Amino acid sequence: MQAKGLIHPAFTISIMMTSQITVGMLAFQKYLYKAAEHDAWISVLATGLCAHFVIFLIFRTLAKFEYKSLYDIHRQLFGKWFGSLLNAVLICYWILVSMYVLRNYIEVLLIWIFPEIHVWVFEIMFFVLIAYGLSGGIRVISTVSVIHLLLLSWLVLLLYYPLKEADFRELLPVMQAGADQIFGGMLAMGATIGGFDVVFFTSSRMSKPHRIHRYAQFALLSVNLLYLAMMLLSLGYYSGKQIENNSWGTLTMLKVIEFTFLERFEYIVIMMWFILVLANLMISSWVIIQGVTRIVPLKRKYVFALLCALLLVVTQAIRTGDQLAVLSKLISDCAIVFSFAYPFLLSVIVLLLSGVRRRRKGAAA
Amino acid sequence: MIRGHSWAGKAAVLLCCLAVAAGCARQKIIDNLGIVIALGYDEVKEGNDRIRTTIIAYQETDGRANPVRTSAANNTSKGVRTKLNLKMPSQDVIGQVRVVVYGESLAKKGIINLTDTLQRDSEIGTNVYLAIASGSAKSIMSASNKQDMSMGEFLFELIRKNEKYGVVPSPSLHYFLNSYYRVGKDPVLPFLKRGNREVSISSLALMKEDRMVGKLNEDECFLLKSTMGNYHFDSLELALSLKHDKPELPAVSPLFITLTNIRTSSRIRLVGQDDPVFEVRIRVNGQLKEISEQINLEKGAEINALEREASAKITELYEELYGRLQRLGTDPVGFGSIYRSSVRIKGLTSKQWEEMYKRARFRTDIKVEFTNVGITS
Repeated sequence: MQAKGLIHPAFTISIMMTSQITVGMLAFQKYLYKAAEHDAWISVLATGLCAHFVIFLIFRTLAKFEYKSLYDIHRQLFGKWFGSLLNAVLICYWILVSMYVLRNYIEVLLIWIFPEIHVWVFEIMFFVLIAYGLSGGIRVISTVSVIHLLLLSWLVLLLYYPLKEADFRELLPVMQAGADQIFGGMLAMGATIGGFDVVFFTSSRMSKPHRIHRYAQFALLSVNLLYLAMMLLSLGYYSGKQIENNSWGTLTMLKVIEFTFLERFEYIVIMMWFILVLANLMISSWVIIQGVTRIVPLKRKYVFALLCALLLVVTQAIRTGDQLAVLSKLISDCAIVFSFAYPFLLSVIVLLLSGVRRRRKGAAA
Repeated sequence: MIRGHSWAGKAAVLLCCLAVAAGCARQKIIDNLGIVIALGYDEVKEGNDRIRTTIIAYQETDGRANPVRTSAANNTSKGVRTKLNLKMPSQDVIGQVRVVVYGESLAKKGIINLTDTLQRDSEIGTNVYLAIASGSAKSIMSASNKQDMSMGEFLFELIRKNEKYGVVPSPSLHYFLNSYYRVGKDPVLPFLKRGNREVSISSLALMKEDRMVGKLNEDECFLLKSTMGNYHFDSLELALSLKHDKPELPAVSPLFITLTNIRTSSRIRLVGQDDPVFEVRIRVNGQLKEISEQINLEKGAEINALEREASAKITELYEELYGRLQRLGTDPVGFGSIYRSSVRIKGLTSKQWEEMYKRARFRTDIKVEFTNVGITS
């Protein structure tokens, strides 16, 4: 039996995977191909390796602070005021991410299935379901993420259909792109794969925290393999210009699936994606609320109400694809900073500070 | 705990309300829809309009779904909807389109703008078949057939069968765009012809980028498709001329042999870079089912001699085909794409390849093998 309020460390797997696989999965190929052409898969691989290293650093930092939440680490490390300021920045980032995920998913719905529907109808549906998850806390949210992942896992089998048509000679010759192009691809991929930094916040709620690290690495490995497979398949299935012209690489690939009783499969996939996006939004709302209630003494449900209002207003304000593209660009830059650069910087700071403290102790003695 | 319950109750009520609200989107009741299954585009000059669009749609009349053909002219294929709506009582939906036919004169000028709108449309799948009509698409779509099928369905089944078991390479929207957008590869589409009370695939239309530049005849279709990959075919007829110099075989000319249940495998490699040289290795395996003369096939030596004759003959045909494709400047096999993937040149353009293709040479290694000669020897 686990301690009260704590969840099993294995939930890290589902929490991380739902944070990393969202709308990015439906449309990441285009940006990578633009940067690294048919060597885009090398970028995916390289970004994956970087992410593994960053996870390693994150857990080194967490281990030093007894697996506290990043919000608490900030306050302990930088003091009340500056720590809170950093926390506020983090909260803004997570709010931006939720906006991006929500609005982009609704964009998919508008383009593919319901061009005439009102955006707010879907948003309220999301908010009600997220409220349900939040009322149960991290315990319910983590379970929801497991169930939703399992419900979606069979979709991987659908890739057999485009695989049949793929011609992998398109991948040759390997390493034709220069290092600069590969790096450009890595920047594009960084935003897609980002989101693993969620472990900074959830680890404080887990029992046997020393075991979280291996689960986190496993989750990251599965996500990396999935993105790599997806990229290889897209490169084989499409010809180059086709990837560049297509905003929704993954969904268009599923258009090839046809059953006698079901003409088009991507409609089902899009509706299944609803529950994945839902689980993702539950997690980010939880992270946001955890942060806000640490800074201002507000009840959680009021914070959530404010968050919903904010999301509703902003996503209503974004009307065209261009505006969405601006938000996407902003997010992709932020994601690289917050998912890759910041954990690295933080671990360096922690290393330096602990070095300084040890020396001081030595001097005092 | 009790608070939690009331939360859930309120949420459930709100969700129900939303479900009702979501139902307020525009309804599409199947009885009132015209389900378009075939589209045709032709070049016209009617006032300001340049493109005539023909559609075949299933509509409900007298309690049955009947195929109805309508056409109107406009400047864009989607803009024509306004005019078609003025002619049709039903709301047309294009999610079930199976075949898109382009008129010959339009195809000679280029069809990429009209296929681009198909891929842009989220409603249309990528398995839609494209074809080119001799004369106009409208005349093909208004033709009747002996099976009395709806023309849209007839064309779809006709192309599908010949793609799966026959000599037509896949003409789906995905393959068309894939070849069009690939450097060093050109699309190829079936060419439809209207006869007396019948419509048939008379040959393959060779495209250069999105323009039709020539046609293959029926025999060449087999050669082209078998070069493009590994496929199954129903049958192949070869005309051999046997000379006196073969001790195993009588001198007969012409001698016709027919292979059935054919499997082909093809492998193309780049062996020379500057003036590209391709090595084309093709194996044609099939059962020898019919010979136009009585030849004793009891001995292995005779069968082998016949195989050698057939291989020599078919090699000639293949080389002739590659020469013709080169002269037309079209590359449906994708030699250019093989070149691009074998050589480290960055950013090979279609223009560069076009120049190189003219100088390309082909080294052929082609063998016909009889898996057996039927149940008699």
